[in-house]
Amino acid sequence: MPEQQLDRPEQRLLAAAETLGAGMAGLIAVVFLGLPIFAIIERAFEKTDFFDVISSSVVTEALRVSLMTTAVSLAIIVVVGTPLAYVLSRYRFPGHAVVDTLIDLPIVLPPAVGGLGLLMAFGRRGILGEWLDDAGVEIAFTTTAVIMAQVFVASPFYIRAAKAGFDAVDRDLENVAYTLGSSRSGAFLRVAVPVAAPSLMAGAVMAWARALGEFGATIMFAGSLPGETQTVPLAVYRSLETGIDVPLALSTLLIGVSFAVLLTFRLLAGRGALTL
Amino acid sequence: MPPLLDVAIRHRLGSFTLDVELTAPDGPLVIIGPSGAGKTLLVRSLAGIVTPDEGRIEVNGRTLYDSASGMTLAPQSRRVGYVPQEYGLFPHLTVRANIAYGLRGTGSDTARRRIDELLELTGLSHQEALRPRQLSGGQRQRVSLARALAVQPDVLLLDEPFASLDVPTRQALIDDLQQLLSTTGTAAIVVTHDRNEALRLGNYIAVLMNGSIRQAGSPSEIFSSPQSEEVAAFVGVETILHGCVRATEDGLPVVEVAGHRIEGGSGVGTGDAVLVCLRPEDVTISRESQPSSARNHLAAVVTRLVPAGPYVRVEMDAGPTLVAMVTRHAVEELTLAPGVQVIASFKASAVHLIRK
Amino acid sequence: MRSNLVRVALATTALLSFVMLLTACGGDDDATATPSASPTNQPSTVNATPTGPTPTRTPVNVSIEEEITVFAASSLTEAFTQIAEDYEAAFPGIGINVVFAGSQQLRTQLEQGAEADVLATADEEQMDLAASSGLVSGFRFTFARNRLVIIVPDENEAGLTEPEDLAQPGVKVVIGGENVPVGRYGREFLDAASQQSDFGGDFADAVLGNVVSEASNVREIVSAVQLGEVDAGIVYVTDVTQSVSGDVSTIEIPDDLNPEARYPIALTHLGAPKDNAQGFIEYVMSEAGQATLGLFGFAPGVP
Repeated sequence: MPEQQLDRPEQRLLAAAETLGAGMAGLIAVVFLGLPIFAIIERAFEKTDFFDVISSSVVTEALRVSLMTTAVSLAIIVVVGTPLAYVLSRYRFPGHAVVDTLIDLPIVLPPAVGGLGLLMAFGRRGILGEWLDDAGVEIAFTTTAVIMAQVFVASPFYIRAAKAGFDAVDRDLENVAYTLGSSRSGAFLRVAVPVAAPSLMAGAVMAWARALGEFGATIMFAGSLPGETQTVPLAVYRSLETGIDVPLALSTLLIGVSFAVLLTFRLLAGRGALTL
Repeated sequence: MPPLLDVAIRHRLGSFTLDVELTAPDGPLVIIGPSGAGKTLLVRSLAGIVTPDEGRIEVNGRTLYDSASGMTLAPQSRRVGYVPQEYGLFPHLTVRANIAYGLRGTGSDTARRRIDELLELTGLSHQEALRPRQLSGGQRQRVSLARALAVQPDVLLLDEPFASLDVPTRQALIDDLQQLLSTTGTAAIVVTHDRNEALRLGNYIAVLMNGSIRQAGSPSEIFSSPQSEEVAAFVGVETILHGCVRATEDGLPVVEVAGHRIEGGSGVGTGDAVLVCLRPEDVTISRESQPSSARNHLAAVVTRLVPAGPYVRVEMDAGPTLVAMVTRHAVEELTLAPGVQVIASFKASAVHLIRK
Repeated sequence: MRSNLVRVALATTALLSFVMLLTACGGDDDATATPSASPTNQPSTVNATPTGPTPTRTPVNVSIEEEITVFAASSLTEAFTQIAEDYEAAFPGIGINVVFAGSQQLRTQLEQGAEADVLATADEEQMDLAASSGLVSGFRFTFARNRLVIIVPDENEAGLTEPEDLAQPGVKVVIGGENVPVGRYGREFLDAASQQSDFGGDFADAVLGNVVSEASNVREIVSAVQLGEVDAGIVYVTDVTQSVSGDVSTIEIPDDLNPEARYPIALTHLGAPKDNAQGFIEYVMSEAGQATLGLFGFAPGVP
């Protein structure tokens, strides 16, 4: 038997090394991931007049822009992305592989490339943008542009998760629903979506997180104007030029907000999962 | 009265071809066949989930599908109650909500009454607030049935309804299903691989093997008079011998099988090559020749004993192989063991001949 | 057998990473920290062809004995790239590494620990801030001066012809942020103009209301106007380089309203400033350096 070829002492040494290895890996992960977060919060309270700074207009406006735009972006992503993910999951049509790959593209491309693309497509001299401009519709350098940039970079995260969620739903459930009189959209809404809900939630969280952190595409396509297009990442970047207190305060706020939202999602999803 | 089911469809799925022609006068219709025969594909075609390449489907005289006129009814319009193999319960809904699913448009009072009725009929009144994952296999099956019945379908389609249940549960549920069907007066088409279920439930049985119907008829026809070797093997005939009819005596064919002489059967003429079919339950064993009412006695040597619950399956070599099913008690009494010489006997009436 | 192999591999990886961690902690930390990446922090590759005296290039395989890092404002991109080349040609063995970004970005990076030997900003204010943080040595030289100009896209669909037009409703304007030198100068101009009757008292507010984006450096503004995404931008006259001039047109700002931008250069306070850092500053202030700056449109540091 191969197992018995190792002597006792060797085995024990091996086991000890394994434990050490696992412990080291865990420690490295926690320190590497946790220390920057902790450092921001600690420095924010130590080095700045935290509560003064967070009430300054730079901070409140950036937070408002970020929260408002990401909320709208998420709504668009979910409303458009869910049926899209469902169709991709349930139906085979010519060009299916192309659509699939297209959806993955924004994940792979650098955000700046995405921003350039949005500009070339929807900017004043863009392919579609030119016509829109003639019609009086301005997109680049507006809050709309921020939302579009966020949707562009974040939607793949949701659609991927949603599609995987739908793939995991037994198609017989929908078949039964059809025989009971549900239309295709009826079965989609009443059966597929509720059963896939945990995956949809997880995908929404990922997409929201990505949208919140979006920088490269936003700065190219929407520019940076406090109160209109300056999101929290942009504000942190810009205000770093003046001093460290605003970035610290903003970052701490963002950490707090993100933590709260993620926790809420987790609790909701957890409860949802329990009822299934 | 139009037949329960009149179907003639063809469908290619990869390398498998479903080519079914069947007219079943009334139900419950049980379609029986081994796994891979195309049973689920057939059920899905009837339900409208799969559209066959060509053909026609009529249930109770109502056309559900006709490729000739280009007509296909969507599952929503077929008025069939589909109970899939794993029951397909909606995991996010309670028992009550599951049953209520198809009653969306119905007035709340009517709906409520019907659901209460069905809960009682299926014995689930105490479970109405539970979720599927909190139910046993038998309970889930009943929910699936109740849900299908709630919309008052023309016919129930059940795909292997008892496959994942243990034997005692199965027995009880078969009775319950029969009760339910007669109480609600719903027609049913059941698909299964289990012979016992077919025998107990079915009014009309069709044997589906490798995509086509080999034989259809009453239970006794199928089980006692299989018309081909394949069907015979599937319905539980374990001894199939190849022989030739030599003569007819006293109105009974005399078949020569590997040097043995067998009397019995019907419907064949001298010179016919035939298959001699014997059910193991009909073969008795003794140590010595004994006078008995059985006309056929073959000397054989026991080759194998296979326990089967309270019975033992005895395989014997009499030239060709014979199989008998005897009680354990009999085995002990006769001190049967491999190598022991015995006499295998069976009545002429137990012999079923299939012309080759 | 397989499971044991996995265990051994795991243990080995663990021990290796442990060892790596130890060496990393004890290793040197004086590697030249290149400043954190910002979108426009790359040395510009624009090559405006000067017609001044060009020293012959030294062979490339001369070993570099000393490397000098220069932080320079974005508006100096073409000029300082040329000056660096000239200096390297004149003094073989010295490598000049120039990093371009908005002056305020450069100052912030220095504050955060980035290392450079020379700082050249586009206004006194950023240099003052650097000095008060103890980042630059006391002595500084004004090595160039600059003026503002308004640029519009070549097509000029908005039909802007005079500075007053910036205040017209619906015009999209890009200027520098408040802390960016070009943004500060721009606001100075707007305020000065608001004092004049031609422009009107609400000129500054109107123009600021038309601002759709605040840039971190001039090159962002040039880019936005080049692409035609905005109607106008306020930049330095030196930003209308050869490569850009084909895509944009200019609208002049009257002299009396046009703030004079003063560019200071100083040694960064690094304990032991390198000899060649001082040498570089001297070169910039020399005839040759000033001539090069002049080629690119800058006015001499000393009038």
